[in-house]
Amino acid sequence: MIAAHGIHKSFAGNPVLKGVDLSVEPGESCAIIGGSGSGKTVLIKCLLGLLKPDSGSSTPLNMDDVGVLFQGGALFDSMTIWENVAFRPLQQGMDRTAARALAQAKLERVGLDADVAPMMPAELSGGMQKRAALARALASDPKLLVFDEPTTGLDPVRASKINRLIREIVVETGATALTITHDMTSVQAIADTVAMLHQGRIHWRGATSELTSSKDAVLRNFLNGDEGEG
Amino acid sequence: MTAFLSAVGRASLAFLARIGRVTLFIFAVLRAMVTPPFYLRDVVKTIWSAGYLSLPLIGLTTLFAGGALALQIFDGGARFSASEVMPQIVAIGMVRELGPVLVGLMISARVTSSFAAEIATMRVSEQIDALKTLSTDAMQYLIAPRVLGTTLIAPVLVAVGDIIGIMGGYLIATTRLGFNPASYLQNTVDFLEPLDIISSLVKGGVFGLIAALMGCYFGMNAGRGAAGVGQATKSAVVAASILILGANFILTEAFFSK
Repeated sequence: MIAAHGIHKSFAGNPVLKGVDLSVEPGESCAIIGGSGSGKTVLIKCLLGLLKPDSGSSTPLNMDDVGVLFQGGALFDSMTIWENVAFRPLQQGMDRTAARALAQAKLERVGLDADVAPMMPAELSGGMQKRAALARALASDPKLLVFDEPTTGLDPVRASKINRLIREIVVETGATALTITHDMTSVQAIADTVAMLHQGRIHWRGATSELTSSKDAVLRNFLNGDEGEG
Repeated sequence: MTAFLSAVGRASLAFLARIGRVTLFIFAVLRAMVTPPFYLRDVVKTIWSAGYLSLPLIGLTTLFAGGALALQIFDGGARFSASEVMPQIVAIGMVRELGPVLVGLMISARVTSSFAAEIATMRVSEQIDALKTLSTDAMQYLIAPRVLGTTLIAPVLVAVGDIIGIMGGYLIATTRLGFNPASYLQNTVDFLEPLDIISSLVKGGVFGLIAALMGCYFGMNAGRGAAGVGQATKSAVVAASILILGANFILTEAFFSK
């Protein structure tokens, strides 16, 4: 479903991606790991068409089939939570009553009460905002789910809850999932497979279960926390 | 010397590149304005927030400016026995110049800054990226309604500013300088020509367009973090103010140069 070939991307002459090749099969849940600054977010933005790669190609995605959970949630702060969740259906002409009902169902799915629906994003805690953003990503039953650092900024308890929720949703919907993270707890909880981005390329690719047994020195350093800023 | 020339060259290239980016942005906005879907509710929202809610600021600014202008012209005109033509000069000064320029600058202060800060915040918090992933074109959804709404409402604000400015002059003239109220108004109405009013409204539209475009352009191109938002807001207001004053000169030349 997702295939990228030779993606290169530089910023002000500094190469971030130096020829990334990656393929993710339909229904696969793949985590992209790597140190801070290794280009994980840049890679995802290139795949989503939010950034134009300098060279290389990737499967064109139909945005109607994609749901994205951004690192900070990226909820629209001038709208209520239910309007955020039902943003795409509303834009596509869905009746407001039906859109609100859909939003409440999605909010319920991610563990948020109905009384959250009329609130503004600023009135929610970080964890609740993440859940609301997840509900928005799920609103149109996407075939591809992208999670950018889903547990950043959350305490371990909330992070664990979000990880479990994401795993449940991925299994339940059968969607392909792409998760960017440097949190190995998230990787273990969410992903079937792992791709490690290092020095602008995919350095290691394998099953999540192979992570701990791998002898790859760079991967081992990363897992042991020995790698510097990537 | 080489270093100096090199610095001048770099600055010139950066300036030309900026002009190129702004031009492309303007074309993209124009295309978004004529391409469905149209977000008319957001146009009305902009007319409300940029127009109606700006009225107190516009009213106070032009009222004080009109009053001060009346005092200055009465005092200055006395030096060559021309104090009696004060109503006519206040009218022409307000309608042709002060009204549109003050309203343009007030829109730049209130609307440009608000657009730039709001859009820049959306940029740095990935809300613009989120819009794209939700199959929504940010140019159509965010920018076109703001530019269209501000351009449509700015001439109305200028008309209101012109009237209140003239009223400011009238109040000073009739309460402090001994002018007859009826003849003051008669002189004002008789002296103004249709071209004065047309030029004022056209200037309003152009200034509204500039103010909205600059706010949206700098917001969409904001750098990272709070500093990026602050820089975008400052640059937008400065650019809009300078361009409004430049456009005022060009339009004055176009309308009244003989």
